[in-house]
Amino acid sequence: MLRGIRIIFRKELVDTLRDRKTLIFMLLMPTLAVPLLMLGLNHLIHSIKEKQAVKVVRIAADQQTHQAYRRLVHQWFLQTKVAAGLRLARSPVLQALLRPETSQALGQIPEAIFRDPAAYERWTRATVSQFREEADLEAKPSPGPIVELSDEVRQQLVDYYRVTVRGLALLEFVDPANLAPAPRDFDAEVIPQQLRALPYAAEAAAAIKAKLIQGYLAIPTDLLGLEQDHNQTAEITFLYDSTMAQSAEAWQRISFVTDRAADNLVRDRLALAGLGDEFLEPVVLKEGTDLATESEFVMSRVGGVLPYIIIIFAFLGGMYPAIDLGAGEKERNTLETLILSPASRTQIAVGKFLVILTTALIAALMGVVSIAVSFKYIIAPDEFVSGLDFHISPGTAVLIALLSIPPAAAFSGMFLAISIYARSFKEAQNYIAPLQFVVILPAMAAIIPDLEMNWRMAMIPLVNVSVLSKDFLKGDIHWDYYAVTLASCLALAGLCIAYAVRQFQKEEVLFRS
Amino acid sequence: MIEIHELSKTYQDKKRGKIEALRKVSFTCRPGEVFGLLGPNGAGKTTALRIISTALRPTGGSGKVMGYDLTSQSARVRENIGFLSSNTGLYGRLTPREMLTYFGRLFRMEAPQIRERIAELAEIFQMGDFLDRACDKLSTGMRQKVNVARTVFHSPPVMVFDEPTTGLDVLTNRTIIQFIRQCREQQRTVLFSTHVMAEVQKLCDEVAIIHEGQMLFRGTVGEIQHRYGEDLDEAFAQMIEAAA
Repeated sequence: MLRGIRIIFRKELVDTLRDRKTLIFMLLMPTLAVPLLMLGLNHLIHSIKEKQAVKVVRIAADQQTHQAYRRLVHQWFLQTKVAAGLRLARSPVLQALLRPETSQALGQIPEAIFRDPAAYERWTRATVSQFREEADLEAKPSPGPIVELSDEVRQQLVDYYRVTVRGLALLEFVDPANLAPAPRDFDAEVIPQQLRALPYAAEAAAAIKAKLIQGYLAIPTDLLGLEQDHNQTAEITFLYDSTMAQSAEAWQRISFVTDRAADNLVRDRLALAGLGDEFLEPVVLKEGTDLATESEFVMSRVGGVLPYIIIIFAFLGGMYPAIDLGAGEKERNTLETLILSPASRTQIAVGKFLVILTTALIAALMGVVSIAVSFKYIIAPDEFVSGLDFHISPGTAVLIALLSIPPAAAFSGMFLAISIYARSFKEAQNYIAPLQFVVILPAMAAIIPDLEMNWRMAMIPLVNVSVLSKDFLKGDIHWDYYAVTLASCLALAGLCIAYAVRQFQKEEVLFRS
Repeated sequence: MIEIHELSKTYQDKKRGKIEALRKVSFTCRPGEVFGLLGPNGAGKTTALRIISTALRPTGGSGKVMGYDLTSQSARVRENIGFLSSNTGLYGRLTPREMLTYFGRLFRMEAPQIRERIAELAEIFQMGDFLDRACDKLSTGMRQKVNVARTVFHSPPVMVFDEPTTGLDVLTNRTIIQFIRQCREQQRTVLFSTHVMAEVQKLCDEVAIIHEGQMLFRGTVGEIQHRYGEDLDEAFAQMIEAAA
């Protein structure tokens, strides 16, 4: 019995592995596609972000608005800890964060600049070119180890960059009086009702739509005395178009500056009233009380994706070899010869099943590796999972391999049965294609947040794999559930193999064409 | 030795209803003899050969190959038969050597025995040049040689050929005919189906003519000619017309 299975397995495996088309389309392409897609997407997002971050944004603002806006920036700069933070620029910590030329520039700022808004602005403009190279501190921490840099200092630098550079130096102000009149066919309805009375609103709106400017800023007061008069609220208006990337960028810059300035003004008012920051924060929920490490947290999220990848890749990896080994053999008229050999139908079915299982497993593991590599080298250096230790230990690798067995077995059985039943390659493809949709749903079960493993769940093939992998990756390893999961998937595979053997014995299936 | 007794095969077709593909057909082929199964397309030749090779089960009657029963000892029957049809395919990504090795293993032959047999058959069928070329890259003639080699690889005492020469060129055709003669010389039992009368004349010691599943005639080529005249094609047509 076993000898026959081994002979068939060996031959079919060689035959399958020589099929370049299968190898390329089913194994190599998906494996390469994931990191390439991520790389492309990442690159695209970064390049857009970088370009936007260093682009000069044109904003219409009258003389008074212009002055008031500058005052906001300068006030923010003088009154926050940023000035102190910048003095830190001489420290080795900041030098690690910033490129040498930039940190040098920051280190050489004369103290006087901080007290003279005009001098400060001149200096800001002069350092813009260096910042352009830095592009975006958030997106691209400069090379070198970022060791002792505290979050506070880092945040200050980001604030500094966004307020002074993006919010001031990379801003060009245009007098709205110089804007061309709105064209006759311009629909003034696009301007919100409450802004129609604003001078030059129509001209500015038309210019924004025509991409001549990116926004229209209007500050009706000079903002002087705002910090002394507690009862005053200054209304700032900014007209923009959120569907235009550059205009949205302008909105972000302006709102960042005004938000920061407003924060400072609140502090001033509190100080004046003899109140501290506590006045605004009667209750504070302490941070850092989460027991889960950052890595665990991300794993619990990624854990939902991983079974999906395993299931989809196992599906793709098993599909074509299965079709080739059953329906393909019929189509090439080799099946009759095989069934006339002394090998029993069960040996043939099991031998073929094992080959499909092998390719499905290889595909699933390659999928996991490709995802892991993509995470580690493409996404992880980026900000949103930075600091995450995405490391697959040998133990985890074994667990993932173990998790791939149940779905791969279930698919291999199903595919074999379908493939032997089908008349031709094409017919088999037609039967298997809709199965993809049936499979995707249980594969996504792990994404449902509150789905917990229990005995009943462990008995549902594929859903159990999905839920179990999430637990496994979090470190909740229940071997009893794994055993039930494996058993349920193997039972499904067994049923399918039995069905395939029966098909093999049916004359109308073997000889229908 | 093939002994067939009142073999019948009926099956259900969704569109055409009950079909009697074979009705009580009986014949015996002996070692050292070539037995020809003649009949027009759809006569039931392939069905009969598939039952004898155990790919199909009979619905009536019985049969034995080398003394083994077709239904109860089908595994033993398969070990004693070499089956070849004109449309038998090859594994395109394997080489003839690999393919022969595969079937040798399935027939429980040992590695040294397999190697010897490949060398022997490569000599007989002049396959040396393409023994290690992928089957996909072979010409029709080469493929048929590989197929024949595969059929006789385990040296079966009984050979069953289902229209083995259909679609082959003259040279390959000749190789096959020579091969069938050789089988006879080696005292094998040869059963083959055809509708080419020239082949019948060249090869067959005995023939059975079947039409619509029924046996119309059984005897030697000489007996046909004696009864229906020299022209075998004409004799064949007359028999079919008489039955219709």
